[in-house]
Amino acid sequence: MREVRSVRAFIDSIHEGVARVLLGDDESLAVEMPLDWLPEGAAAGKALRVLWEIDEEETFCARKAVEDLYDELGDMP
Amino acid sequence: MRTETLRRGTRFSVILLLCAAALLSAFGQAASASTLTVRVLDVGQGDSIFVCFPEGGTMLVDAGTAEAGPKVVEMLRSLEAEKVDIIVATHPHSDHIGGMLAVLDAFPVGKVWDSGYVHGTRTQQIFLEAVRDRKIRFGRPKAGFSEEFQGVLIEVLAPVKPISGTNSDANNNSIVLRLSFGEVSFLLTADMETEQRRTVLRFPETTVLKVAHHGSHNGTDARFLAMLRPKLAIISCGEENPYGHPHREAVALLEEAGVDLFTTIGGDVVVETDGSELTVRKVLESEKSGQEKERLYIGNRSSRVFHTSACDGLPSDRNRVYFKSAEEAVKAGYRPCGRCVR
Repeated sequence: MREVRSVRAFIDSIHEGVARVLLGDDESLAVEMPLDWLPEGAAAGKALRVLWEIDEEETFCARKAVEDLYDELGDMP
Repeated sequence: MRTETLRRGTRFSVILLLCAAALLSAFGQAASASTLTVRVLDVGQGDSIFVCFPEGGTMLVDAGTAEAGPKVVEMLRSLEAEKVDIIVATHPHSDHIGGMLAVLDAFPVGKVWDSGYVHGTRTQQIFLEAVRDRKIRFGRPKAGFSEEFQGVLIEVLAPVKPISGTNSDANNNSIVLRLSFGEVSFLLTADMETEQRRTVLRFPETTVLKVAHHGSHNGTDARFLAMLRPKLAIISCGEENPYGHPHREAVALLEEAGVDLFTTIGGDVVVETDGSELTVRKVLESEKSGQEKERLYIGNRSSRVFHTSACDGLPSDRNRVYFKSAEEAVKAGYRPCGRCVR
């Protein structure tokens, strides 16, 4: 079973489509992101819950994409 | 200006020119013939090293973060670089290859050396796609590979073999380079950590050490320094970075070894050598060339918005127009970016 962890977050401000979100219980990490990454109803002063889980499928695909590029590029220093 | 003869140096007199305004007039000039210049750029928390070879050839080892990419490009332009002969992507962490796209967009590139470590980030994928799409010669040199370029011997000391299962496999599969010019040598250690260091049986003595992994405790140890016997060490890291770099353990080891230590906090560290003597100077951000200051504001011809050079929303090179002041940009009909222009 996949473990999911959650982190508290808080929308500090929104300016010109950019949201400044404070992460963690102590709000020690500030991240700016496009407002449309956040769910509908997101507004300054709203609390968020961020859920994290490992995406093995995407990990595999991402590595495969890079491996394929290495194959294409060859090796001729 | 401070001049000192190093403790163990026999012929090396290192002239430490700390922020010497007198030399700033030469800042924008390419290295003179028969001089090798290694410039460790202040890219904040990341790595980017620009090498000018004695006959004018150039090499860029890493390009900092994506945010630092435009700054790296501006710096190379201010040094009158027209092309980059060799780009080295030491490993695929974003603070080393994030700025590569800006560089590939701005300059013709002769060839790319890459660690070959599969990380999987979009940053790595986009970088490799850009190399492929531009049909740039590409290779993954390993330990034992060497090339003589314009009188400088470039040797690859690592990776010796693929390493996995460490806290940072990307770091431990870094390309580690040694540059030798006459009696002077440089060891560029990327983010090599303990596990990779142990795979290299012997590190030759080295005049200048670019300290591994931004001065992390896992990038340096006493045995390593005893082998290298460096005269000068440079740590590339950002001010008040969240990792606490440089770590006090690493700094203490370097101090105990009697090494003259510089960091890129607040400015580039520039080392020049004729193959016999070294000149080191730190160029503070606030004292950079007039040419760079004149490019303080960057407008977007398409959107008619202007930004500061530090903005993360800078336009592509073909859409750029430069202004000396915000007033000049406004007079030209541009409006300020809401995020970066205060």
